Amino acid sequence: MLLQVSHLQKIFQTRFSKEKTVALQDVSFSVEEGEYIAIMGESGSGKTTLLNTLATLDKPTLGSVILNGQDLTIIKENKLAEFRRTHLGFIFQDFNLLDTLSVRDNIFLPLVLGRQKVRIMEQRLEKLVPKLNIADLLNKQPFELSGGQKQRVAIARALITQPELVLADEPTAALDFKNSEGLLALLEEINDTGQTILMVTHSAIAASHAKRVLFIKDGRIFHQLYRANREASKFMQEISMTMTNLLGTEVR
Amino acid sequence: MFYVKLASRNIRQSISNFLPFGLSSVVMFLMNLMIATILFSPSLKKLPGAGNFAMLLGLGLTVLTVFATIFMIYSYRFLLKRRTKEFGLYNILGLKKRHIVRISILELMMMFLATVVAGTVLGIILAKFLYLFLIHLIGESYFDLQWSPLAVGIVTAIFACIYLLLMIISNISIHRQSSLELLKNASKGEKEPKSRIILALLGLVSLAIGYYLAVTVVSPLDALTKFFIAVLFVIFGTLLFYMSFTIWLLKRQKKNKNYYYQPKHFITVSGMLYRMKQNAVGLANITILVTMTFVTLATTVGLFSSINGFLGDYFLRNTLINVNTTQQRSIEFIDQVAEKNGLALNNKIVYELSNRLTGAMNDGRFENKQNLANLTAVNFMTADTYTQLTGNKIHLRENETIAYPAVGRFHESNVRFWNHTFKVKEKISEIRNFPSTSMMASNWLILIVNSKEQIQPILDDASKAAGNRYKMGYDTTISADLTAKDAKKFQKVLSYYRVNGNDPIKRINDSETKIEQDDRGEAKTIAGMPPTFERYDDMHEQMTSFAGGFLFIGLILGFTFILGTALIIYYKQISEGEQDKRSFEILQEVGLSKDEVRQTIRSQVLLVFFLPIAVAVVHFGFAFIMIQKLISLFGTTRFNLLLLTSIGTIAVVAVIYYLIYKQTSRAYYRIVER
Ligand SMILES: Nc1ncnc2c1ncn2[C@@H]1O[C@H](COP(=O)(O)OP(=O)(O)OP(=O)(O)O)[C@@H](O)[C@H]1O
Ligand SMILES: [Mg+2]
Repeated sequence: MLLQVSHLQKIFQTRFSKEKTVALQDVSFSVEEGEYIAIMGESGSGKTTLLNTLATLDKPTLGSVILNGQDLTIIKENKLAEFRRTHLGFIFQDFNLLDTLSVRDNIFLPLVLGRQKVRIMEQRLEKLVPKLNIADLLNKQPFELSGGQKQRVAIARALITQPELVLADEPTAALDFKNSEGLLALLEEINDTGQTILMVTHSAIAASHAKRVLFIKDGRIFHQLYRANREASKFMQEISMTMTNLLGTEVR
Repeated sequence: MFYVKLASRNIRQSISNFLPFGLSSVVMFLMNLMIATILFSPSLKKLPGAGNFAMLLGLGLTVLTVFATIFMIYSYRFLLKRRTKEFGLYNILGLKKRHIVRISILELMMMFLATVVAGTVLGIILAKFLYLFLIHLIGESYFDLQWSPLAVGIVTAIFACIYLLLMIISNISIHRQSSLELLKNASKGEKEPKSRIILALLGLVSLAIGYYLAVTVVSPLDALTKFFIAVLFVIFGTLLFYMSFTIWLLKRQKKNKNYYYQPKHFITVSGMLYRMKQNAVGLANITILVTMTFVTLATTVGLFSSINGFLGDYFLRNTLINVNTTQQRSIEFIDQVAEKNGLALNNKIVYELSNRLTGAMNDGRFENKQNLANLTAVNFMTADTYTQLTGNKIHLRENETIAYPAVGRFHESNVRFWNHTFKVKEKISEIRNFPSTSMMASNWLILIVNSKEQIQPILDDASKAAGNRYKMGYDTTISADLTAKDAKKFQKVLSYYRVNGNDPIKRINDSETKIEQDDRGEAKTIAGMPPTFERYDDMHEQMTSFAGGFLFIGLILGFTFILGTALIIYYKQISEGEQDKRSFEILQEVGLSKDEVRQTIRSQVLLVFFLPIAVAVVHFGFAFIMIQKLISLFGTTRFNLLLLTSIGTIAVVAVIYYLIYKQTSRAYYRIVER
């Protein structure tokens, strides 16, 4: 087992009011190596909160997250950055590329921060380039790229550290339909090579490319679906049905 | 009325945006008002040397006005940039651009009124305080500084013009942008700047020319004329230096992969390179302002502090009397007059020099040209006089001379006057019982020759070359200690006598013929001059009031420059903080710890802190050579003292600069870590 999440709870309390928001409530699930999991839920259901907790960007109120036998919730503050750098890869909704760096340097960024040798950085990049089709982009600046291109660069940056787990937060939200499709296919391919991916989304289309979908509502996980060997479009129908039936909402 | 409400609400709501602008506005107003109040004060006319002082104040006011204009534009553009989004929103919500312009003009008018009111009130309070300070500096106690409506009126008028300019700028910039652009703000990406070797070289060459001009000044007057040219070259060079040379350097660092791909260098180099274009102007501004502060303060402090030393060099005794005839006749005359009036001259030192030749010295050739750049005054001294002053015997052949360059340099091995040539046997650096400085702005060269027979033909030639009708000869300087009472009486008595070379000394009944106002030209000289009379105390008072006024203006300007620097740095930090905020968030997500973030910021900030100071110190190093010459225009040769005061001022300014940086960095951290 790669990742074990048990009894996770997150309560937000703003400084100025007594009011508490329970964002996560007794969330437990586990992830095997090589899995591709989508966590689905409507807006405000706690998806981002969950992902941030897994990403060590946020500490849970209760519960534990164990990655390869190490409890992430008890890592010391000053070791967190290094941990993220070496074990996790991130893909964000709005790409989060640095304007000050060229595309190549953006991809190198986590390795540079990890004081990796230049030769190794270049070797790894060389392997990623054909897979992600970014050869022409390397010498450009981020502002010259389209959304889809940016997201491919962001994926390259997530993969170059060869992370145990890639975390993606609504990676298709800022893309148009065609680019979304391309990106989802790309993530599937990456997963086929053995890379474990965990993605949160509120889009049934995006979720349908995963191998397993967890449903979250009001901070609780209460259902899951396996794709098995189905076509993505078939799987999507079931996901939509589940959303409408179980959650009582229309899926967009 | 609606717009007035909207405008005043805007100011109140985004006070953090308006505050720096308002602050710079009030401070600039205040500084201008200070100088104007003194300039238009009725008691200024009572000061000795009021004309000079008023001229200095006028110059100070001009510099400040130009500075205030530039600075207000800078501040206002910064304010505008931060408010484009707000204006864009108004536009989309249905306000026409015309209305937005009206709002921004109303805002400016409110700021203007606030500036005038606050500036005047603060001005009245501060004037009293500054006045005491000024009195202390120039050592006058009857100077009464009053609140002057005229000064307020003039400064208000100046600022009305500046604000009018700002309104025009606001109008243009709002009309030029489309509403979407207004809304989108300045978040456009920017291509990495190209390194332009030619510009880099041009910058370096420009700096080199400026520096070269500074290093090669030969005389005080030369420094005065070259100063502004050198300043222009250096300003231009500084700007190009930051715009191209630093980019070139950063690019080179980036090319070196093993250096560049290290966490610290990676972020710093790429970050600096990314914003070097906008940074260049800011850094150049800071550098120039810091240099200006150094130069202004070092010059004025140096001038003020070197008065005593200078007067000490000039006055061998507390009184100097110069009589326009030979030593023998002068002594006889002075002793006789002193005895008749019962006056005591103690510790007398007497020496005789030839009348002064003024012209250009080129490769040891004296030319009868009044060329400012290398104007040199030459006096001849006989070997006998030298021996009498120093007690040392010297032997000179007919065509030999000993050179004493009291002011300026002299390296030639021959010196030639028309067709009389002397071989320079020796160069000396002092003469005992002889002043080592003069009251002239030009260089001063003393040539010691064997006897008067060698001197007279040259004097005759000089007289002919100048087309004079009178004969040139000798004058005698008598230094002695006199009590204040005796000195006063003596000066009065002597003013009745007229002396001209070998003509008989005449006594006239009307001393009221004011010699300075007598414009008979040559005829005046022929009619004879009264002996000149200089007192240490008079001169000290006069120079202190001049240099004190100078220092006062220097301090006000220096203070304003520092304040300008502070505001520019503050603006820089705020705008960069806002740009960097997102970058540092991303970096933390990707795997940079908080501590590392802080380290990176510090090294980036430190570099930007040290660069302008370092460049400004280098600039100043070259300016120092000029300043030294410029000050010797008022008469100083004390290199060490000037160096010391300069280092002192630099240290003080650097400390203030550091404190400013510390303080404004906090604003940066607050934004980035929010
Ligand atoms: N920093 C915070 N402080 C207080 N409450 C928060 C904070 N972050 C999230 N919440 C609350 O926690 C709940 C879950 O938020 P979360 O951002 O995880 O939702 P989400 O599923 O990602 O929604 P969306 O699909 O809109 O992104 C919401 O009710 C939200 O208001
Ligand atoms: Mg979310």
